Amino acid sequence: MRFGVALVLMIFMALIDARQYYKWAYVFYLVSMMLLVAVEVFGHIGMGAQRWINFGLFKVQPSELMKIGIVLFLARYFNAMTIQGIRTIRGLIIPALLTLFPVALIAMEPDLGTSLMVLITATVMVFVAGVQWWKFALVGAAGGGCLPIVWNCLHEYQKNRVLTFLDPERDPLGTGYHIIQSKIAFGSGGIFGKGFLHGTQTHLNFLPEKHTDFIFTMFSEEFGMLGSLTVLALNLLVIALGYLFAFRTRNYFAKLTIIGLNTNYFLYVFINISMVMGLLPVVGVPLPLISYGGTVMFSIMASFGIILCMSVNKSKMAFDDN
Amino acid sequence: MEYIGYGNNGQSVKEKILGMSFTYILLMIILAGIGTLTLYSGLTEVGHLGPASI
Repeated sequence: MRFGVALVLMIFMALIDARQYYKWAYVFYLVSMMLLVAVEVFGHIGMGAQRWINFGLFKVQPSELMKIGIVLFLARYFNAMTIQGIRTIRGLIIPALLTLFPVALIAMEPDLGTSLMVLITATVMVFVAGVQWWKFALVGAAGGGCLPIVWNCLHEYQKNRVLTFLDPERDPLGTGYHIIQSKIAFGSGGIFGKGFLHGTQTHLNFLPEKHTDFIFTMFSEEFGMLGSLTVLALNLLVIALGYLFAFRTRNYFAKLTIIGLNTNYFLYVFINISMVMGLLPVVGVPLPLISYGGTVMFSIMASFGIILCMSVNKSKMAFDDN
Repeated sequence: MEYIGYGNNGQSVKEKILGMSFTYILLMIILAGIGTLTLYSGLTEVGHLGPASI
């Protein structure tokens, strides 16, 4: 049912003229930004974080809108610039500020996972737009130098997640419980799995959040390594097709938009699967199309709709501000 | 520039739908199908087959 509605949304998004996305890119970004500010002022608090705005009938998570908003904004911004302009420091100040502001707002909710996703997506788009690699190395080195300050700004639970990632056994019944149980469930599935509805670790409630962030663990226990590899392969195909669309399209705005949205999808899959296997700290990123959660499903399907819309547009049509 | 609302560069809605990658859409549907199956399992308590309330 939820997917059916999201599928209709995707087709609707795919049928909109690509030029409309170009025309409304800045407005969409601005609305997302205003909603993010609104979350800080009168957002709905759930599970210890202030991430939602309650509109009565439904709740909206503005950070999900910003994942699309930042992509459309950067695609339009870079589309209007020459490569020489992009490679100047002046040309990068506006996109840097307008990326870091929402990233900071999302991190304050607090939602470190989503803020990092927005930051990485924007970084990939800036790289694809043609900014020299040494500038990334410079910013990376400066960021590395700021790590002690960032560490001191983290909430206690965020620090615990990082420490648990480095050593899950330091608190096996507390902060390390999630990840230890996840690894046990993974391993107990073996090659062929225990069978549908027969996952003992998950059904006997050893594994928390089994229908949301840790759903891939549950799937792996019931369908084994073969099932997990199938899901990985399907996701890999979706991601590869997305980049193929970007490669084929001749329009710069469309190319950047597809790359941004596809990178966002890649990050969802990569972060979720890595975190449930203990390869990344637990940051609360669901597995798209599989985990329970309406907002993510709708935002992902809307992204797919925009990708399809841009992929159909193979001609080098003019997007300009006139 | 004239914004035509639907379609692209003079393409009709039909042309646009036919131009979309059905492999891409099919992959999404398969993944969502796997998701529904897994969610059913995740929301099913031990001892009965009905989805439990969350």
